[in-house]
Amino acid sequence: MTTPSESRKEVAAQKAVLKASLPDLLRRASSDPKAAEEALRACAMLRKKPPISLVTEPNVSRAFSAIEISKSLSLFSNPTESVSLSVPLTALRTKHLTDRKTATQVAKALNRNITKLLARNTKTTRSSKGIKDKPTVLFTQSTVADSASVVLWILIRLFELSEQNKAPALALARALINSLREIWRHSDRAETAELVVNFFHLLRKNLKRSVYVDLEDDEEISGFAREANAELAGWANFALLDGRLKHLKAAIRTAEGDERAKILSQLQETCRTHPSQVLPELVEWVAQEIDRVKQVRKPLVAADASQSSDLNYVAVSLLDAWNAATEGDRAARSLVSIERLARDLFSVEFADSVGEVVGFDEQTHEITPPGKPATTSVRVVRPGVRWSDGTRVRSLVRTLVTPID
Amino acid sequence: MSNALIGVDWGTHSSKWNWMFGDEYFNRGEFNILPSDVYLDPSSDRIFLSSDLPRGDFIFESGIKGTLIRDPYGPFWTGPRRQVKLTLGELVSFSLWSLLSEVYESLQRNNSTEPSQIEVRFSLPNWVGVAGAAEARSKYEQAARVACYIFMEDRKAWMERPSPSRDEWKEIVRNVLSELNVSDDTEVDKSGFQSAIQKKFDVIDQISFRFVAESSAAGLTGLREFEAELDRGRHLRKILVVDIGAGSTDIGYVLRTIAAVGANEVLVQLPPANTCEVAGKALTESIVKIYGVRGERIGFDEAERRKLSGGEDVWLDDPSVKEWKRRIAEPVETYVNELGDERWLPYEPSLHVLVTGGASVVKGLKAEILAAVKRGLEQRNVDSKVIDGTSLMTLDSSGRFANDVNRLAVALGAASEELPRLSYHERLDPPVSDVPMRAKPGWT
Repeated sequence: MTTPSESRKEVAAQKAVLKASLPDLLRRASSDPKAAEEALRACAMLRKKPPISLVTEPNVSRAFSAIEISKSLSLFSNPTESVSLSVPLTALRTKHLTDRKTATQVAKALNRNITKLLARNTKTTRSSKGIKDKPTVLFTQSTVADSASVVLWILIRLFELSEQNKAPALALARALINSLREIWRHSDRAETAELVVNFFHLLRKNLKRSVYVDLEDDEEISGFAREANAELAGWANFALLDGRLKHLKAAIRTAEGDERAKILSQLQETCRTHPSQVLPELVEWVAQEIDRVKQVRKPLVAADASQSSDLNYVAVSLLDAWNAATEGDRAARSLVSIERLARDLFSVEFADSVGEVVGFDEQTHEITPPGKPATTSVRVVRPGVRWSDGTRVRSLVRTLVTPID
Repeated sequence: MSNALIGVDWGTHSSKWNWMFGDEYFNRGEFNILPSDVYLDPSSDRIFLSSDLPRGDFIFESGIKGTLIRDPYGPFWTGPRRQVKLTLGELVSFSLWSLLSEVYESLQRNNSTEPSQIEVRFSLPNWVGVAGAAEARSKYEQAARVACYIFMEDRKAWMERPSPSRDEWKEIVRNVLSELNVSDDTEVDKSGFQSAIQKKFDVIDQISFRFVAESSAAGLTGLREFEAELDRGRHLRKILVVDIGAGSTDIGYVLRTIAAVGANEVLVQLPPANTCEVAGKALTESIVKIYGVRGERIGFDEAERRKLSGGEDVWLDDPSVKEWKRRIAEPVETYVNELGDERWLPYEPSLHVLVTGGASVVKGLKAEILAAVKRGLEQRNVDSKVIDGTSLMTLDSSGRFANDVNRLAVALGAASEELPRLSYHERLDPPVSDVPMRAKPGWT
């Protein structure tokens, strides 16, 4: 039985051997995959960042187990300008999660590592001028894509393997989705919103309804989804104003259902309020998309065209114009225009002329004042409005007539 | 689908119809709106129901539906009315037969195949909790049965002869009454409103009918129109429906729940309020008077068009219009206060308020009704968060199309294939356990 101090000494000795053999392993690594594996394992053991050329998806996948990869994300990250975790995440994705324990360990390790990674990279440092800087970790777009893919994969497996007891899996799932949220928040959120929105769509399609519902009810997660949708809407609007049709199409294609309708309505508003800033092709595309959505539903069709609600507007406009026509030349001209519009577009026109004496017809005439008995001939005091398709004639507003004593 | 669904909103002043037939869910047929008056041409002795009246002197019987509920104990199949010399039963059955036949003509004109089975859904006014309601419902049912039977004996009879002579009609009805063993002595079914709207009435082969609570049918239309573009995010929705017809206003409550597990949708309706007589026609009459006082002569038709066009107009600010809105809203407040839903109403998500019917477009009316609903909720001591969140249900469609949907909400809901799924509950008791339910919208 070894004591803790003996074991520490043993590890130190192992590390010393590895340290000594590392230069040779690294030299051979470029030509020998076995040596590359050993070199990567040695680097991991020594917590030393391996050369970037060694950190390839096949090397990482061959050298480490799923749990080991998820525990060593930062070691394999590529911190050139933006942090990329693509290689370890893609390597992780090539693994099989065959049991619940492994899936749980991988999920926990990922959460811990992402938290650590963000904490370490956001430690304040003192610049040369003594000002405290807080460097921002910026993940690449591919990191967000790969994270979304890995999180989705783990969640699906986790719930498949946790049929009996879902509570711990749910807690872990929430943490994992929140890790994805942190990665997304540390990326170019507008450009990557599409990836997150798509992640939620896939999650809905792939998880059981009951699990999905539980996740959906989590305030933080629903907030995350809303945030991503809002970013996507903003991104689509930016793409519209910036003339990026390809990006606009992609954003709209990603959004579904009411979110899609909402974004389209925002884009419509932008087209309306900024006509000079939006390219005509993009305006046309937005208009076509809106029409396409509307065409899903067949509009109501009146069996008798005279029953359409449209005609209420037309009849009222005609009578208003008639009321105003005596107020001057312009008003009179406006009546003529409205009459033409009503007649040509809606088949609606005035019936009878004021002052005219006509034979009383109960279907088309209304006696004024009400209650006064009708006479055979009556005088028109206010025109009626009728609709006709050439054959059928419908009275929309009966002509107002007074009896002739 | 070789079954045709026909929705008939039989109104006091006007009737509306719509049909559903075909494979596509959205294959909604034509609609029509026509006066409910039954006309008699004394010169030819022919009777007809039409929006296209030939010129001449006619005798007509209007407000048949109103007569039925005002005089439920009076004779129905006997005792002809003084003017048209037809019994109330003959008039109601003629009105329903004409509507049915007209719908069928439209259905045939628009489809290459004929339906093998027809289910008609007649709107049932919210005749609840008033004396004679059971009698009125029972007579309406008899007339519907007679109309369906006559229609089915010869589906195309109306197309060839839409206006039979008075004596012909009397003879036809007499024979069918004898065939169906129906008369004024037939025992009245007193099993209540719930039973009336849950039953499916089989008449003869290939045709059956149901009654549908007007407010519930409108609620179903509202729900589907509201969610028309949403293919997800469906969750618990509670809808307070106020359907303002020309002759009556109906108030009801429908809700849709979705269980967390299984995600099956459950559609529920609760007892509606009894029909309120303050309705659109009263406003039209007020508009005529308002213009008169201003020295402008307008007729009833013009006032009606002005009301239905929903524009900004001078009459909107008149005290009588404000009073009309108040009188419409008043029973809504009472209904909400007394509504038998202890299970969902007091909790989130908040209530949606749907106002349908032609007069629903009157500016300011919806706000007045919404305020009344909130007052009703306050009286129940519902959480302020739920009250604050209570909002109007705005249909997905807008503009002219929305106006048509609003006017036709009852007929559209009645023709819906989903209607039989609308279960009826006298009340919903407080929750006994925490049942997981979709109470919030989805993420995406």
